[in-house]
Order: sequence, then structure tokens, then C-alpha cells
Amino acid sequence: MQERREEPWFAKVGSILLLFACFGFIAGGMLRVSREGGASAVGWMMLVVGFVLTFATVNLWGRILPGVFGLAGINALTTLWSGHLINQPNVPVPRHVALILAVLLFSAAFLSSHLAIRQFNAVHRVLLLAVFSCLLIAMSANQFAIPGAVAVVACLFVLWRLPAPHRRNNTQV
Amino acid sequence: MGADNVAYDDEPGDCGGGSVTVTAQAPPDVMPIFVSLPSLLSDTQQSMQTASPPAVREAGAGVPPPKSGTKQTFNQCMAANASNFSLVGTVDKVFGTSLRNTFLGGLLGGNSITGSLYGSADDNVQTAISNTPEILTRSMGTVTTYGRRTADIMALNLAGKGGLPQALGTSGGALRGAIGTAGKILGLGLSFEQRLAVDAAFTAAEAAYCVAVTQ
Repeated sequence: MQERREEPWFAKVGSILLLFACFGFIAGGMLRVSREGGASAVGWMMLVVGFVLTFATVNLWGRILPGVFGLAGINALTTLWSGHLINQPNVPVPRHVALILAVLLFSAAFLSSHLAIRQFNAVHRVLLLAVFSCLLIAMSANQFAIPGAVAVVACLFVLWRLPAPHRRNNTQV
Repeated sequence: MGADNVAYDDEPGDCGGGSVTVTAQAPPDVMPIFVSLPSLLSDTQQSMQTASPPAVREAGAGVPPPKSGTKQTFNQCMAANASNFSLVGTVDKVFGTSLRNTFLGGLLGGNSITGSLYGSADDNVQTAISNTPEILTRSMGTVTTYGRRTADIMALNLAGKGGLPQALGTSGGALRGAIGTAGKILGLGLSFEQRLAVDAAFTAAEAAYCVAVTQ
């Protein structure tokens, strides 16, 4: 018996877009606030919207993480082969960095593969938000890429080892 | 106006290996001319220094080059805009960030389809491992050629070298097994296919854009 509620196909695609919208709101808000010395009303508004959206929709974007990490791992393999960032031939990536990121991203994909069919409790949500924060930090600058990815894998490992929460009564089987 | 060198180039972040740069150098003997404009801007007349068009001649016809410079091919357009038509490229455009230039930002939100089909020559070779394991596994043994009597045709109708059918045709048995096994072990499943579908949608949008631009 599976604890699984089938979601429509477009809902998962929407969740992918939602995850990147959350990244955009928070990263864009932080950029504006830091650039204008905290005086940017638009920046603060983007930050508030981004944080609220991220907290409110953790159940949605948490379930599509395996696909995002999996394709990122394959992109890392492409980067490892070509020596430059995917879609960006003018951004060289050292091979050892690409290799480490590929290993970390495939590990993250494996560790998050159970999330698609799992119920989330408060601890799970907190850990998923930690994953989100680490990803955001890792995406902010190249020197944070590997430490951030390691932190993501660590959070997902803890999440993977956590016992499954109690089953809801309204789940379909 | 008034520039001796005319450069047509893409944005700094847009050069995808296929950017086109055309520089027209005016000869040193071209004298600048002064044009007295009527008083559209202010009551006092202003003089504006302009230079004659670049003395570039095509086959001795004396025809100045088109304003847009050398016309991009479809492949060049796809390569140049690959970073724009991706998840992270869209985020950058909408929110004013530059996440696509960072390692992890590019990997998480990059468009794997255009990255493999329209990247560098090395990327074209990588087509076989840049597509979904499930799609690859399913594609094995399906008809990938055009013909009158083929009922089951799978093709990515984009111009250019490489592409899924050729890559599948040259994939060895070991590669098929490895990718299929990796996909099953990772258990990426539906979310992976949906993430790839997003990239496919961006690729289709980029292809439509490039068809419109290059025509």
C-alpha cells in the first residue's frame, strides 16, 4: 500500500515553476535590499512574498526535488564533459568542481527520491526549508556551490533517515 | 550615429558560442560632416556631428551592409539564446538576478536540451547522456527514421547537427544499460520527466523565436 495521492501532471510542472519563482523572489529581493542599503521597498516586498510563498508551498515544491536534482546532475555531467557551464560557454567550470557537483547532485536526487510519496510533518518541512536555504546560498556565488551542495545532501540525508509520519486518513491507496 | 566602428553583438551573457560580431571600420579618409538640424529639440539650432556610413562594399556593388549586420543562422540563434530560454534565465529576466552565471544556478535551472543540442561541439557528443534515462530506455528499438512506411516515428524536429535520433542510433548497449539502470536506481520518476518537459517547452519557445528572427 502506498501513501500516495496522485497529482495532476500540470500541478507538478507548476511546482517546478513555483520553486524557481521562490528562488527569484528571495534572490531578487536580497539583491535589491543589499544594493540600495535596505531602503528598497520593492526589495523588502519581494523578500516577504518570497518567504511566505516558500513556507506556504513547501508541500508542493518539496515533492519535485528529485527531478530537479536529477536533471541538475545530468547537467553537471554535461558540464564535466564540455568544461563550461551548460548554456554558458563563456563560464568555464573546473572539471573537479563539475565532478564533485555531479556526485553531490545525484546523491541529492537519490536521497530525495522518497519525498514524492511521503507525508510531511513539521520536522520534514523545517528540513526542506533548510534545503531551500542552502540551495539559495549555493546559487548566490560560485565559492558557495560545493559547501552549499554538501549541506543540501546532509539535510536530505537526515530527512531520509527520519521515520515516516503517521498516515492521514484521507489518503488514497 | 557618429561612430566609426559599428559592432553588432549580443549581450555579454548571451554569447553562446554562436554570437555574431560584425565590425565595420571606416577608412581614415572619411571626413566627418556636420548637419545642422532644424530646431526640433530647442530654439537654438544645434549641430550634430555624424559620419558617413561605413565604407563596406559587398562584391563591389557599393551597397552598404544591412543595419542588422550579418544574419544569424537558426543554429547560431539557438546557441546564443540558450541561456535566456531556460528556467534560471527566465528567473533572471523577471527578478533581475544573475543566478544563471553561478555554477549551481546554471546546473539547477539550465536548459539541458538546448545545452546538449546547441552547445559546443563537445556538447553535441553529449546528447546521449543529456536526456532523460526513461526516454532513452523507451526509445531503444523504436523507429527513428522518416519514411513512407514507418508508422512509429520519433524525432525532434529541430534543425542542426546531432539530436536524439542520431545519438540513440550510435549509443552502445553498455550505455543503454547504464543509463537505464541509473534512472531506476535513482528513482527519479515523474518529477524528472516533468522537469525535462519544462525544458522542452522552453526549447520550443526558443525555436519559434529563432525561426521568427532568422526569417
